[in-house]
Amino acid sequence: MASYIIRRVLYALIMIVLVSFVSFVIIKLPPGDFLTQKLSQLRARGDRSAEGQIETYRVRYNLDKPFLWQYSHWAWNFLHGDFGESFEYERPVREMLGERVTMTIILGIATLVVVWAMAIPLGVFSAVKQYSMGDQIITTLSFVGLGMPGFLLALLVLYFAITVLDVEATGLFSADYVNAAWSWARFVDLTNHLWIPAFISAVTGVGGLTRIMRGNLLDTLGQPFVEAARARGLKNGTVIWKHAVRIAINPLIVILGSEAIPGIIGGGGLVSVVLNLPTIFPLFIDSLRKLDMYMAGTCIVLITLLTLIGNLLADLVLAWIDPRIRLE
Amino acid sequence: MSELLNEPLIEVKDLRVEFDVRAGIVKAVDGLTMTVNRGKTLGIIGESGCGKSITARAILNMIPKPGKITHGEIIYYRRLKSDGLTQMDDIIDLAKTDPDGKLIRQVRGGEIGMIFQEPMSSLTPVYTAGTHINEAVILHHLTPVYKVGDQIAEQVMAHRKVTKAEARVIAIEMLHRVGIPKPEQRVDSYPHQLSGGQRQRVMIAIALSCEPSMLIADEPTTALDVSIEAQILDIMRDLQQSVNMAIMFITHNLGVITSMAEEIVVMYMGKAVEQGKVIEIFQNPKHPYTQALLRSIPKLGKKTAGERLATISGMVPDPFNLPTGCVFHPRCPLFMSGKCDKVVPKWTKVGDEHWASCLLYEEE
Amino acid sequence: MAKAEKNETAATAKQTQISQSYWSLVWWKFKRNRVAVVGGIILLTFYFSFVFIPEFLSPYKLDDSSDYTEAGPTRIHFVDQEGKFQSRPFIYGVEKKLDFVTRKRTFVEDPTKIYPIYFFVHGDAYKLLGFIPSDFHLYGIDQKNNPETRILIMGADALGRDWFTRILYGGRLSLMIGLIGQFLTLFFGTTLGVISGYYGGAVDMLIQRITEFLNAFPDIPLFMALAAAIPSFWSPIAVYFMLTLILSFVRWGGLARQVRGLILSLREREYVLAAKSAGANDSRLMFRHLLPGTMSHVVVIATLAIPGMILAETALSWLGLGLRPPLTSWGVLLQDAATVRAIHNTPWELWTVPFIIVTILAYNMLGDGLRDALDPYGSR
Repeated sequence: MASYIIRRVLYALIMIVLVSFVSFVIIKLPPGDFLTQKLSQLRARGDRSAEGQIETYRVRYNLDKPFLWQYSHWAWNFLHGDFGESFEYERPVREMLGERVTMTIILGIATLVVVWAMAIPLGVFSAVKQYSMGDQIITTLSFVGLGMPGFLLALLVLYFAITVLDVEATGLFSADYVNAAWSWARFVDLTNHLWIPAFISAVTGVGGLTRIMRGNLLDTLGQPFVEAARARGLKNGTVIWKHAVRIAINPLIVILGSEAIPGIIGGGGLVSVVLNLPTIFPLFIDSLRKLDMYMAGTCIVLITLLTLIGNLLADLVLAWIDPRIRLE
Repeated sequence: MSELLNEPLIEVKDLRVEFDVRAGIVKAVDGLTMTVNRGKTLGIIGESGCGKSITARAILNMIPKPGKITHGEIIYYRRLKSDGLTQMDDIIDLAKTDPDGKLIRQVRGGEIGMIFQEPMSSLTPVYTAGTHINEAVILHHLTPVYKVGDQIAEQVMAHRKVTKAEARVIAIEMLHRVGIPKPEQRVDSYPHQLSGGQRQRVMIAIALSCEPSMLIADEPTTALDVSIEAQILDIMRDLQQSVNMAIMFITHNLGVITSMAEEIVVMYMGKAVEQGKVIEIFQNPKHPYTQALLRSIPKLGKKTAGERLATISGMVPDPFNLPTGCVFHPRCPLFMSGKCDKVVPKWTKVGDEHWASCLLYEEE
Repeated sequence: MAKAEKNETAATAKQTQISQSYWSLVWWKFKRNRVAVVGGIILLTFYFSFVFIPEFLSPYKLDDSSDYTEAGPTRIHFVDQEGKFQSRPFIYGVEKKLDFVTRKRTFVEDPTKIYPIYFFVHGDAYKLLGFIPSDFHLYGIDQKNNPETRILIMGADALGRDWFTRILYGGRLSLMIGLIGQFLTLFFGTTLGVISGYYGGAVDMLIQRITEFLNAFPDIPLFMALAAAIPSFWSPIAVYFMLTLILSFVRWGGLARQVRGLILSLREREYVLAAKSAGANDSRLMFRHLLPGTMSHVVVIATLAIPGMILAETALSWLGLGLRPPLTSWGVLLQDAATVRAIHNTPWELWTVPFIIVTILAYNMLGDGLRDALDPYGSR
């Protein structure tokens, strides 16, 4: 078990290093950089000292150094918690991302909780009452939800909120509360905004999981150990939840690691752009457009890191609940 | 084992089980009648798909969907109390119980245990052997409570459920009795850490942990090696004698059944075609199907050079489209035209405690 | 155990019957799945309409700007001022008015000017499929005599361009990028998967590590980073092809993995040994004998992956990292439509969204049906 965890952690570390390096290469790929963009802007404005200014920036951001030096310098500082400086905002990346990282994690966990809390009961119901009216409704709805792209749904919900409900549904707080201290009113304001991302994640995330849960459980219910459990005189509910669901849920955890978490982070990212939620994503996209190198690099590493930690946790959970893996 | 009169435990009367599938209705069990006696072993033999396993599940009222018991009774003589002097029985029709009701759940596992064909997958992979046994024991095993200080001559006896710690002791004891080495350690083993034979022993331990009045064994040794098979059969015989329970032993293996059962029922296409004492049936089979089955066993010591092993001609009929009259007639070597394909044979006594359903033995 | 046996026989049955009867069985099973057939029909209609005949379906050219800036959808009338029902629907001319309070432009119908709607009307000349000259349009008003009036069934954008026309043409690029991108993915994925599974060893090891790396990278951020790396001065066509390449480059990993797994199991089959002993060389074995065995799986995976590709293009272009004007794709249209301001002022531009969603759903319906149909012996 311990060696399994160590192996997984090592693997994740290697991936992070590779991902950060490749991201750096990719960001460096296009000809020109942030400063050449800035230079042309300054020139267009007729700023005569443009070249001189740019040169000072170039030195300040180490852009005059060779690529490998830039990368290793940034990576070394990254390990020490210094993510570099944003060219665009001329502020440390860490300062700008701080709260957004927390928000990304909170939203991700909230999405996971909503999705799993809905998908598992629905999937179990659907499988246990196979071919019933309820099953057919759930199956149809989950099929529609499965194909529904979150950010487009977010657009439609936004349209609905603006035109029908006449509320500004973007962000997590109304203008009055964005910078206010925590209070009951601020909390109410937050829940007034939170229902939209919650609704979207429920619609888009629950469908796929419900379908998988239903399929797995149908397979499991046909297994001899379920019949054997019933023959021991257990209640139907105990047979289903303690024996069948317990086994049917394992593949779901594999999916949680390999698909659901990246999906929530990536797909949720697009949703947060539409709804202007304070997550990493809106800044990340902006930094990519502006070639804001250290910002973009930090964002991509953080996103990958979150994904890998999610994967790792899913692996550990699976090992924890499945003795066949734990005792390997 | 008492050599007294046979005392019925389960009486199956004209049982019909139908599966309503998209392509039509399959009659998995079609008018089956048989009796299991207390403390005795009844063998049920037949080809795959003849309805043996469905019959076993019908007794526990757990026919898988979309199957349904459509006709008949399964009478269970439930012993409520027996202290050597008084005896009290309750008569229940198992076919009419609520499939998820309290009554049938008390019977399942508590009074009728069952072991299955596939020990490899009959244990839930994420629970230890002990957990499985505990589940049954905590549900069904009741410990008598003697009320201390009760001075009335009549002893008042109450029952309570066993605690987890007690259940564990029982589990280890049961594993010991089914011959698992180091039961104190094995009780915490997960199924994947046990061999096939050990798993089947665990299954037997679960089934017997509540001292049931009957054990249904659905091809318990089919998936095991021959040497393991012999061990498992030995354990079942030993335990049967020590707790005086009936066994309903389902198999397609004619060799195994002679060593286990006193009486056997031969099934074909959801019907019993012959029933009798083992020796009687093997020496004097009446139904042409039984005769054909017995001919298909290779015999040791006989001169076999140039002689081919007999097979039953023809194919198992299409379950959606059963033959008219006697279902065996298209394959029967003694087929009587105009009779067998028209008339459904009746259950006829053909000897001492020996019945068959064949028109050959019906009096005109 | 019985189940494993069944799967085994099903697999071998599939192998032996992969000829005529297998495909006819697949077709038979597919046809019985109504949802899948509906999905297929929707897709055929969409591809035909948007890729081949958008010029005919819309009354205007893609970049026909007009004075109808940010005009809402034109109302189509059947009943005239006197309350009489007209068999031929008509629209009214409009007059632009400025609301001084809200500072918004509004268009007010002028009931004195009536323009009947005609079907198969003569309008702008175009070449259907690029070579058939024609000036027929599915619907429209008498444009030649009333060049200033527009029929805008889904409104207009800030330059007064007909939004419906833009959706039609946008669909052309978006739908094609899904197909072409998936085709490239198939090519990369199956080739590398087959090679990886067939040779094993160091080649396999290398390909495996690369796919693992690609999988570890979160999809959407990787798309974004790569798309952002496309130089801004490239021509639109170059950007389009580069984007297609990026989409397929990121996605081939999963497919290669699955194909590899299939090849590993197929490699041990007797018929491969038979072909080998008959003197078939490696490439023949791989692509003539092994690859066909994976086809049905590949078809299903590919069908279910196309919507992801279309969505990726849409999302990237919408974020300004993919296609850019003057190219018109659904994602480019979303750049205009998907802002809070646009939802207030030109909500009809959101008509783009249902088109995308219907396409995605139709692909899922089709793919799901194909998965069931291609496994005609399967239980579920």
